[in-house]
This record gives sequence, C-alpha cells and structure tokens, in this order.
Amino acid sequence: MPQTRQGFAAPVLGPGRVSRIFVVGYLLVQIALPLRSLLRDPLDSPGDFGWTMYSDLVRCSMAYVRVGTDGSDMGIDPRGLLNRPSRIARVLRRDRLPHFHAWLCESGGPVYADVRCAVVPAEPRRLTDPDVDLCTAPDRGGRP
Amino acid sequence: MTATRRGRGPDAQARPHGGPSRWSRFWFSAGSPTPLGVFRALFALCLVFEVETGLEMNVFALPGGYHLPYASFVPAVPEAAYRALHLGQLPFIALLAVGLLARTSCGMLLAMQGWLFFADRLEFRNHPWFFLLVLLLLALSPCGEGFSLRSRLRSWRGISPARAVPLTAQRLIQVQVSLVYLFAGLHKLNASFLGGHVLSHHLATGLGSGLSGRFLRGAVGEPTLASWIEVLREPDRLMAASIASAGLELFLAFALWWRPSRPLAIAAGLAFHLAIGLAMNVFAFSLAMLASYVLFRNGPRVADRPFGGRAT
Repeated sequence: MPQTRQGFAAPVLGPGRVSRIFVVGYLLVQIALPLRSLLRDPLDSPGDFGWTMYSDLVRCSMAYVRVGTDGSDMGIDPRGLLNRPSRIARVLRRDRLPHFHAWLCESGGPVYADVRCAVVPAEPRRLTDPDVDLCTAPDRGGRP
Repeated sequence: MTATRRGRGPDAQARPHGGPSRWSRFWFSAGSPTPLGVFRALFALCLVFEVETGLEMNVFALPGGYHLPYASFVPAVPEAAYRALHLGQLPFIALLAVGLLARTSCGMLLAMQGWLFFADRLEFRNHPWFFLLVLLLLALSPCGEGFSLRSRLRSWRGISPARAVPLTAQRLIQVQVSLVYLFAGLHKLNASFLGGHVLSHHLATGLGSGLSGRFLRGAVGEPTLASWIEVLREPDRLMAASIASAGLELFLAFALWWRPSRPLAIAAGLAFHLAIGLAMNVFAFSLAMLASYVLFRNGPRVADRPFGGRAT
C-alpha cells in the first residue's frame, strides 16, 4: 500500500489515492457486514462478522433419523459429526442447514429431521419439516 | 489553525480555499508514533493468550468431520502442521512485541491466523476476527516507528527516530474499536439479552470455571460459589446488569473520542472488560480492547495537524 515515505523505510497507509480508496472500502465493509447481521433473524444466520458477541441466547432441540434400506430408523447425533460438538449451534441456522443436510445425504437417505430453535425467551420455531425427506427436498432444508 | 497554514498540507490542492477537509485532517494527519507503538506491544501480549485459546478452538481447520468451507481453495490444515501453525506464531509475536520487523511479523501472523480462521466457517469467532483486522491494519501502519527496538537501534546508529508518522492506520484501528462497541451494543438491544437470559447463561457457566472459578473457590469456598451461581441462574436478577452492559457498549463507542468523556470511558471500559475477562474467561479480547485505549490518547486534536506538520 503505497503512499508515504517520510522517514520510514516501507510504504504505509497515508495521504494518497490508494489509501483513500482503502479507507473508504474498509469502512464500507466494516459497516455493511454488521448492519446485515443486525437486520437478520438470529435463526437465519449466526451473524458472522457482525460483532454479535453474546447478544442472544439460542437454544435448539434436534432429532435426525436416517431410514435404512430395510426400512429401519437409525438416529443420527449431529454433534458427533463435528470436530467440536459444542459448536453445533453454528450449524443449526436456516442458511446453513441445506449445506449440512446435503452432506448428511451423501452417506445415504432418506433423512428426516426435526430441528427447533428458540431465541430465549421466545417460543421455539421449527427450522425443518419433519415429514419431508431432506435428501429429496429441493432446498435440502425442508423448510416448514 | 488558520486557512493559510492549512493550505501548506497536501490537501491544499483539493480545497484551495479552505485547506484540507475535516475528513482528510482526520484520516491523513501525522502524529506521534508512540501510541501506536505502545498499542503494538500490548496487542502482541494479547496474541500470546490467543495462541493458547486457538490450539483448543481452531479444530474445524483440521480435516475430518463436517466442514463448511468459505472457499474450496482454502485447504484444511494438515494434522501434523496444526500445532506448528500455532506455536510458530510465537517468534513473530515476540518480534511484534519488541518492534523489530514488526510489519513483516504482522504479515506472517496474518497468514498463519488467516489460514486457521478461513479454513472453515464453523471456526468463526469474533475475537480472532478482530485480531486479524488489527493485524492487517498494523501491517499497513508505521507501527515499528515508536516504542520499539527498531527505533532504539536506529538512534544508536545516529539516525533520528521519526517524530511524525501518518495516523491513517491508527485512525482505522480506533474506528474499528468503536464499531465493535457500537454493533455489539446494538445487537444486544433485544429481549434475549435485555431480559437477562444471556448474562444468566454465560455467568452461571463461566463463573465457576477457569481462572475466576479457581480464585472464587479459594476465596469464598465451594458452597458460597454454588449459591452465587444459583442466584445467577435467574435471568430477572440480571436485567439491570444487562441493560447497563448494552448501554455501556454504546457509550464506549463514542465516549472514547471526546476528551471530557474519555476518563470516564476508560474507567468504565476497564471495569467492564476486567469483569468479562474474569467472569466469562474472555481474556485476550478484553485485553486487546483495553490496549486500544492508548490510541485515543492523542485523539482528534493531533488530527487537526495536516500531514507533514510537526507532531509534538
């Protein structure tokens, strides 16, 4: 980043065209990202890059079932599929579930899920339709 | 400052009748390199804490299990390199702390922490994201010019240290700190937080663990600590603290900028971050935010001087 050489060896941000563009771009990004997160439902997205630190408490319950070829149900614990089970709340958001379900379905289907989350103290809301096979649902999310 | 004197600055061409605009004076002035140098050294200490936390938390960067990548071209961190990628940061953190090859060290730390951070979206935490932004801005700043071994070595060789450096990157870090407070405060304006539910949950789980748990067990004993935690499980009891906490963050977003409110803001911020650090075991981020207060020491008044003017 190009700009001033006033007694220091390497160029740093200073008064110059590229610096000015950088400052404006940086500010726009750093305002737009949190604003987007501020305007979204916490159950839609975990609000990454939004400085949401400890701003709400989301509690979820979940039941995942894979139906075998013989018709038997086999429960799946999504927490056990993560490198860090306690981070499951970062998966249980509307914008992330389709990707997670698509990944689950790579191991075979049909898969059914009943995921309910609440921003405490609000009532839980369903994030999936428990009667829809996630592997054949068009959006993989099975939104109710 | 008169119009004539302003006209000597580099922005004189942009505003021939009035000197540089307030915008230019704010972003593109020169000032003492010392506050940024002190912040650089303190921030490096915070990074040491983050290395330890990262070793435990960055496991989504490793292969295996479910992944939600940002981009397919960012590979998972090989298991054999995971520990090295964390501990390998320490030499660069040391260089950053003493102010030797500071900007190169920032670049290296940015690369190493960036790989761990952007390897997976499940990895996201606000605190490392803040550290990455600060590292980026420090890498683009003259952060090695003040309060550094580099400037000391240069003065021993007879080269006079820089008395004034561009404050652009420092201003961006200051604004970034304010944006963190502002949006953290705005996000907390909801029933879940203001109703005490969030604080209740985190205090009840955090107070009995980590450093605070060890200290409190020793100081008041297990039964008393257990009774305190039981009290904290009742959200209604934490409503006032929650409202105060959100209000304080909004206050800090602005109050650090103005000289009259700055002492109160610093005192309140100090109490706030120490409480967060102790009760919720969030140390590195709390210390980094506190360290940034150094940057507000020569706030807008120095910005009045056009770039190239003499700093005092």
